[in-house]
Amino acid sequence: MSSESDNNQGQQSSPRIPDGSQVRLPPDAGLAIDEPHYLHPSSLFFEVFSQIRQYIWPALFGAFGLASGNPFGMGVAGVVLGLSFLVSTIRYFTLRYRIKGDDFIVTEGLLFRRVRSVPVRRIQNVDLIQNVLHRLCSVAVVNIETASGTKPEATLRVLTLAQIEELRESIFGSQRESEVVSARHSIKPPPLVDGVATGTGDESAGQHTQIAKSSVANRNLLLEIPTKYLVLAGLASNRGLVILGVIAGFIFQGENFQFQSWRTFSQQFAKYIPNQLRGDSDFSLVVGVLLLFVLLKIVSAVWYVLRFHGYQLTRLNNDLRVTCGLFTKVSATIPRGRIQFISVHRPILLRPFGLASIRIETAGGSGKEGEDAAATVSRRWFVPVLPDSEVVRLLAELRPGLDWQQDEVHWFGVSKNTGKRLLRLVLLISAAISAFGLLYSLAWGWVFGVAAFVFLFAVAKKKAKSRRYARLPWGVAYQSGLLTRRMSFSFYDRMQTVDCQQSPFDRRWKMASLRIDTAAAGPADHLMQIDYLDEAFAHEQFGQLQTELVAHRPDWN
Amino acid sequence: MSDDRSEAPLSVGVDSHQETGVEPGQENRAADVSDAADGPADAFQRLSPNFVSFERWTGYIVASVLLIVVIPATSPLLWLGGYFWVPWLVIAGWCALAAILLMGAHIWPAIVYRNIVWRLGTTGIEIHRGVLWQHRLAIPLSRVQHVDVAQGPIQRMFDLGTITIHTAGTKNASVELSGLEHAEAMGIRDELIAQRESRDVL
Repeated sequence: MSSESDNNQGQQSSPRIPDGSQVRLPPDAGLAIDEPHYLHPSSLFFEVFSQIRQYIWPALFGAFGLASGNPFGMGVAGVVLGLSFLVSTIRYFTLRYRIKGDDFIVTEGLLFRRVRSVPVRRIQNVDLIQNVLHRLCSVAVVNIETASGTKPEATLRVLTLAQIEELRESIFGSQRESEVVSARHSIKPPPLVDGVATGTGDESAGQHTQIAKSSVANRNLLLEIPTKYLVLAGLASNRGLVILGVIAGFIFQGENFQFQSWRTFSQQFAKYIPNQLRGDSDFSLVVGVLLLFVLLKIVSAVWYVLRFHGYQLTRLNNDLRVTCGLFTKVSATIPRGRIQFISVHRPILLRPFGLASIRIETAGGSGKEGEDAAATVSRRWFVPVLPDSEVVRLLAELRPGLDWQQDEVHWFGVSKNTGKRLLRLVLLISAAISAFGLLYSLAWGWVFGVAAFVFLFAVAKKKAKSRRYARLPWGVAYQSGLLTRRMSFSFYDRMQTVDCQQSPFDRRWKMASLRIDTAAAGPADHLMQIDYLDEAFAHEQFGQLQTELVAHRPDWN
Repeated sequence: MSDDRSEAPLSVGVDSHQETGVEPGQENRAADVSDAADGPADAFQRLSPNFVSFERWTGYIVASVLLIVVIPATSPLLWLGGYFWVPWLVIAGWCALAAILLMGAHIWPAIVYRNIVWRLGTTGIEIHRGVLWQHRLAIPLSRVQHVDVAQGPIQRMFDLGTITIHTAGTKNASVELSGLEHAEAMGIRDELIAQRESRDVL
């Protein structure tokens, strides 16, 4: 297979084979997973476990019913449990996967046989999730994602690490040690380990460690994050809000803690405050809020440490791999060519420490529903926190040719009229606030309006000023935001459509907004919609971007 | 109130015989990539004039349904009593509503028609549309994933079709352009598919 692997050094110069005349592999071309593979035997257990987790509420309901002397609920729960056992047994014995030719094929089902065939070239990423139980058995769940839909194309629960490594190698065709860097190609070199079949965990454990070692040695370590940074990032974030929300939901469902009003809430809350501190309920409310805030921050920090502990970003040729997690370990592989969008976030609380975070968007598993640990890590927080000084180096690693020199970039700002336009808006809002103020106090009500005006106008002006747009040889950069300063990069060969909009207000002020649409936009939390541009400039850019899009065809593969 | 589709339906200031070569307004269009050969194809075009009749008819139907619902629903007002003119006021209200709805159904499509232009050139397809909120949208040929052409029952009467262009994008994952002549929609589809490289776009 070396004949394939030596043909190119760089991505862009790789020969472009149109779909129709795709070089087909001969059947004995050395792809590892040519014959069907089964899941690992422990899958039975994990499948049941995951099914039970879905039915946890009916099961609890049943148990509750039994406790109050009603066996019917328990019967239902039993049936559900039995069914889930049956389903997972059938699934285990019928599911097999293989790579045949250019397709990754998963067959499944007894009565209704389902064959799912995914072209290997279309696979966007292969994610691996390992919770504590998985780690004890040295197995993991594998999600295989393409650009379609919201769910992974295939979920293999569970495979041994050796099987996974083999699968990854065959899918992404990474090179052996000591081989020259070569372009990823539709034809895969043989995988690292031949003939590792469906061994049990014990047998393959030795091999697995070998693989792990060799591939780590071969991998290019790009970044590690010390725990100190993770704690800082956690403290700066409000991630805990989500978790606290869930906890609060549980508490308020309890019988003896019913939420009637803030007053009773604080009275009830006061029970948990030591006697010396307990004055009146207003005081305890303040203390409660403060405590809640501290708790929120602690939970956020803990969440960051749990999820991103031991974060390692490595690269082997064109595949980036993120590995992290304390209990549930996640390992996500993202081919560099599949990165659609890169965004650098600098939250206000992290800026004094010189820290930033990087988010990327890939087209795989784009939906918001059922976002699992792997999706969180590989898309939302690709690099959860890193020193600002490392950003430029990493950007070049994420996208070859992205040579970012902040000082040399020529930025375009928003229209000159933005200030005036915002002034009108702010005046209107302040007038409304003044009116409300005057309802309260005829003498002093206007103060609210004036205060609001000063504050809002300052914020609006700064916000408008923070918006900047730049054209670069490879794409577009856009920066915006006051509290969290976001700077995003979109690439000509990754843009899907360009779009220029004018609202009636825009037209009145001779402005327009420019929007760039990419695949699976959203997770990076920074939309490429550049508002308040001068009309003429926006239209000019619209035309120019159109030309650039035509000139940069999206063909990396 | 009824327009026959065989007669010229565009009474409200629509220049129906200028379908080709419309330049809707100002400055540069980045059309400099065009070949000399397909110059006319590169110019902006309007939808089929039948679009207006079609929209009017659907407008009339919607308006009639609304009136059929609203008039019986408010008819108890007739017996409200009090003064002798109350029933007359109600009837006047109905008439006003009917007039507004039907006038709206009649006038609005022509305004919409005048504000939609599209072109298919070497750069791809570009659509300008919107009356109050105006959009310009460009889809390069290489970003077209697949194309649908659909035709509803009323559209069939007017020989119209809707073309839906799918891209791998998010907000513009599918872009619809309705009111094209059906044959033209099919032609665009063929052209988009023929010119598109059958290659991955991600």
